[in-house]
Amino acid sequence: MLGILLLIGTAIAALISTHYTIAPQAATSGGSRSYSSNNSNLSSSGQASSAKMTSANYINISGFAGSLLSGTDSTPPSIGNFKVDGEPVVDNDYVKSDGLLTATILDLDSAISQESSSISIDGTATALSALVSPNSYDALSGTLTYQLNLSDGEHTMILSARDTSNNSASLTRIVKVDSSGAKAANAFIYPNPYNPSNGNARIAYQLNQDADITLYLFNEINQLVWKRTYPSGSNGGSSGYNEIEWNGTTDFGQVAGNGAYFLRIVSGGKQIGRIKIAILR
Amino acid sequence: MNINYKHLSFTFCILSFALVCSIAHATALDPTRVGIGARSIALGRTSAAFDGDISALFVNPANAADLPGLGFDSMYTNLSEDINYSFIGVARPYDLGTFGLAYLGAGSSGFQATTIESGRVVGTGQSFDYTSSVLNFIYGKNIRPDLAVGANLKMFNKGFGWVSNSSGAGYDLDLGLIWRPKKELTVGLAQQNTLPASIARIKWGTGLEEGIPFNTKLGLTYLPRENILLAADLDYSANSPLALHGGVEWQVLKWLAIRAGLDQQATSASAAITNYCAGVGFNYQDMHFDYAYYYDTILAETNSAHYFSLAYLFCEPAPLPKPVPVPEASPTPEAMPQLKLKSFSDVPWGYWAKGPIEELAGLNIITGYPNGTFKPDKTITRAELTTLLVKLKLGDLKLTGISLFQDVNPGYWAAPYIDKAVEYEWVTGYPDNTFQARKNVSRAEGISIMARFDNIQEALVEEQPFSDVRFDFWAAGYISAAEQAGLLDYLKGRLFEPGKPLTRAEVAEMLYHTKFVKARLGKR
Repeated sequence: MLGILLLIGTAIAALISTHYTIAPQAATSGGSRSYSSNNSNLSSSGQASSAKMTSANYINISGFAGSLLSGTDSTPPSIGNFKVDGEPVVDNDYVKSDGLLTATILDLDSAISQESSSISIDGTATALSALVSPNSYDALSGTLTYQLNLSDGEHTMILSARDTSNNSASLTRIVKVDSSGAKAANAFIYPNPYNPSNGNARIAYQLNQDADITLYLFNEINQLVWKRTYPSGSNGGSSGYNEIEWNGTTDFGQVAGNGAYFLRIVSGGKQIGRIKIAILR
Repeated sequence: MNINYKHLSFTFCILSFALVCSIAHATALDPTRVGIGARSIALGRTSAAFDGDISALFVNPANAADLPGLGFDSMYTNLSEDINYSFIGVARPYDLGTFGLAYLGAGSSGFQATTIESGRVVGTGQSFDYTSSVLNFIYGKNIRPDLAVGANLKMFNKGFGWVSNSSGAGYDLDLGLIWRPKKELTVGLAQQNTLPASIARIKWGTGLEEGIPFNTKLGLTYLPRENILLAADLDYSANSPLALHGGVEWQVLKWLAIRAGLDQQATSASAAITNYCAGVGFNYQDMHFDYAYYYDTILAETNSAHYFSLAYLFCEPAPLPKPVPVPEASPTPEAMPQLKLKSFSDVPWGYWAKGPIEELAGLNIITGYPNGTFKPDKTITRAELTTLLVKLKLGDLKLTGISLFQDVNPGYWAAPYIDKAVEYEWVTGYPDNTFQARKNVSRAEGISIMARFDNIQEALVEEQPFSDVRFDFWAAGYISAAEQAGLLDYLKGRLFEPGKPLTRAEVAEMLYHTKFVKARLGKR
């Protein structure tokens, strides 16, 4: 009988693992990963390589059956879905000073120890068990909700989780708050170098607030070759992550020649961000 | 005015043909269009008709034809903290024309490689660099006194560091024309990147072949006054509206110039903006430092830029003539030297001293520069005038290893001539035992030296020779005597302006009326 139960348990575990095999989504902050764990089973691939992937961060529970079989839990908790005001956050992003932080802290093997798990803002840690309304941690769904109250400047937020089997994990995000005017962060073009013959490029940047934005593209002798304007609140001018497409054609009606180009993100006549673009066909 | 319209028409036809050939293709950018020389930038990026300017010959190679001597030029700018430009060039006039070599390099780092994570564009943490350079081989020559042509072969190199197959190389050719219809007016035409894309293009490691867009520059400079220069250029490129550039330069002092300009820049196929430029230039002897500030009206805070140029132009004295023996007596018509006029590109028809300059040059009494110019309005130093006069009478002198003056090195090329002129009492030094050989000769000093050279005795001044020359002026006696001898006919009815620097044209005019030269010319 025990053997049958174990067999059924293993089959269930295998079924679950086909749906939740995503490694911790590493911080997408220009390459720096800030997820850490004390368990070597944790996958570090972090790549969005499966159609099943979501932006959530889950532990690989392929060891679940083994844990059941062995009766021990050596898998750390997973921390993911780190968002502020519903948007995923990477290092150096701007967030609102009173933004609502949400994240998922889960452990499928053991329960999360809310006394030993915490959210730390600039070194001041609060145990999940000590959260008071409107802040909360829902142990069933693993959802952490935390109302931020940040001043202007750079802030370090650390989510630390420990399960009842004493496995731990943490996730760090460095974010910025700036209420002095429009600012841009994490401005990139994909791909870089960009070949216009292969389709459109994706120009991405993150804004700290809604703002009228103008993108100016200059060539290597500082001649303006392309310009687009995005009203406040629209894609290109909204608070948070913005992404627009460029087909590589200049306002002179020509495909941009190979060389260096400099994109300036401008609001209110001031440059708030820039991207160095390589065109290579 | 004797204009050879056939020559002009032919040259313009060549340029026009090249223009038509190069319209069809073009995508790669020519980095020299950033502008060369802070002086040119300050004048609104004008440079098509800067005859003899060391910086401008890299934009219009015909400007090289009038370069007065060996010149070095350099420029540096950082555009918007994104890309650095460095330029260095050298040019020298020879009998065959002026040859130049220049290098312009641009570089930028911090191009972020990217990837997609969770549907979002993020940096990979890796970055790469970009470099772009042009090597210029320049040639310019006067084909007529009022017409110069030039060519500039440009070798391009571009590439991104660590990105595979990302290097590109190619070449193209600039052609230029300078026309000097008047002394005060110069017209320039430059066809940049003339060759059609089927011949000249940049070949990339990826297999792509890009033509280089042509640009036609038509420019002029005008001197309404001796110390004011007006410059204007008109640019035409395919897929761009006409762009106008203009500037004014005020030579406040001999060593200081102030400049301002407007620079139009196309921003699309049908629109252009106007940016503002300003700058200053400092001259110290043969060294020139220029600074320009470029105010960008789109993004003033970010795109405005500073340009710095340092140039060294060796204004070598014009080669001095070999002496011709002075005839003992008035020559018979058969014995008179064959008069052969020698013309100069910068001594146009109607120039006030054209006759004396060409006659004296024809007799090798005075000479111009190897590039076919005379630089008539160039001032003359004490060393140059002294050497010219001594050589005329005594021929070449060898260095003696001694010098009468503490500021004249015994090895200085003019040292023996200075000592000889002092010995003949044509010229004197200063009370502190200096000669100040590099100091420009004033009119009063010049006419005094010339009078002593020609054995004209100091006159008793009974009436003022010129209204601005007082009786008790130290040189009044020589001025009065020289005026009576006809050496100052060119100033009749005008002020003498005794402190005004003497020009090479004035030296020719004065010399032309000396007894010494009249004897050589067979005139009484």
